[in-house]
Amino acid sequence: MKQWILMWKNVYQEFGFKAVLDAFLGALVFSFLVMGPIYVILVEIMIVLFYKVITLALLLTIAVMFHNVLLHHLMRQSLQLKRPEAQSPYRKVLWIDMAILSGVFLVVGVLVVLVWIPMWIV
Amino acid sequence: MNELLKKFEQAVKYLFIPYLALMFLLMYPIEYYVQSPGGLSEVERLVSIDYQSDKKIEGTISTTFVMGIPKPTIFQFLVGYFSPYADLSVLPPSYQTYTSSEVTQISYQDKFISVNAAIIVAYLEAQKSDSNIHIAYDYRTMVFGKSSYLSHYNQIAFGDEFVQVVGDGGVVLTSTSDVGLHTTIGETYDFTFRRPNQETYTLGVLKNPETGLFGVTFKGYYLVDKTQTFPIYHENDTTIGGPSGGLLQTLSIYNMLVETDITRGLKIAGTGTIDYQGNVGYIGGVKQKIITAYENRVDVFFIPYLNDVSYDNYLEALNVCEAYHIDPEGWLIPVSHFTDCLDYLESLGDGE
Repeated sequence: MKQWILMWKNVYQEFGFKAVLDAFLGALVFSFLVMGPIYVILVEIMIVLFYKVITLALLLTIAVMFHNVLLHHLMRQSLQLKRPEAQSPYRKVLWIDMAILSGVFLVVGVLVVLVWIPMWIV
Repeated sequence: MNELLKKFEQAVKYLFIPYLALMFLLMYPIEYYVQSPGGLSEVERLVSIDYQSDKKIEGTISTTFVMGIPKPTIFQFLVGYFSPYADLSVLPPSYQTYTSSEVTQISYQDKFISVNAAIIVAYLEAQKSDSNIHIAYDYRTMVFGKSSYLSHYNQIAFGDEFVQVVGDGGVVLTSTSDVGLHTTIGETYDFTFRRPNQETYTLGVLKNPETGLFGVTFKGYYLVDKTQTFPIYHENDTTIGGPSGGLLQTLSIYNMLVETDITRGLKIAGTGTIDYQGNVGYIGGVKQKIITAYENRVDVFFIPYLNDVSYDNYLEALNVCEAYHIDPEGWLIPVSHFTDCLDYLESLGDGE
């Protein structure tokens, strides 16, 4: 944890808060442009083919995890383009964040499939 | 952000029009209705009873629901078109009269009436073998439909209870059947309603000069008096509307009241409305319900058998089974009355 905080501190020192935030917002916008229609497509299929709700909820979970990967990939590219000679471990710290968040989304997705959907259908 | 924009400039330029076209397919609603298979909903999650706590219910009893999609997007329409189990049709008249939210409210009222009927039928049947069980219920009248010309359209809500109307000469009418006789076209009358939170309100409603009607449709039903009923039951909020779960709700509530577990460890599902005498009524969406049951691998599926060639759900179901190469033998059970389900499940026990 300490290591992770230190790495982020290094990134902020090298790039500055504004540049990191700009990279994040840019990655968020671009990743949503790509993933937005995919979410809508999956939700619309889920509504029509509700009898396959579990399969589609799992696909939606995978889509969220892919969105997470894409967001971090674009953020890394953005930071790289801003400062190609950067020495701070931004690649490593973004990779750690991506792995942790993907795990969280996987757990949430499984909980939705196993707990929330059966509870919701009343 | 600018770096990314520069890097993907070409892609953004070339994909802009196709992207807009895709979003149009995904967002634009069309005047159609898509009906497709849904799922099973266990009745125990809707109604629970604090009784027979020693008894272990090994099987499940579920209602079957289908998905009705009014005004689908073009994409949803296409998914339905290519799905072998979905039916596409023009928008039903109810959606031309009401908004989607109002149709949903009406379907919840339908379910409310159905659950009360199921509780009454189940308690009365269980009472025959257990004298501790008793139930009381009152006749009520609720707002079930509204016409666009109804005065105070937004104040009078679906499900509000009709209390009284002051007719010609100040006569107080508490039954909706007398309203037509004691009111005059073109006049306004004070109607009193009660909201679900027991708050009452009175509004002047005009008897429309063009139609000769007030523009409100009432529906009579029996409401269970919980204070006079034993054992106490609890109802949970629902996300599924409609009256077609009545039969299975009755069966499940009955199973919670009696000493023995009638499920015998089976996954039981079905469909059919229920009336206060326990008769099973016609339902729509048979094709989608049969597919739902088949996909969910139920052991027993009760379906209304009405002995009417033009409106028989069982015959319809057999045709669906034939069309989709599903063997109906042993699991598709036709029933005309609630007790037919009990007889069938009992007969399974005899065979063991």
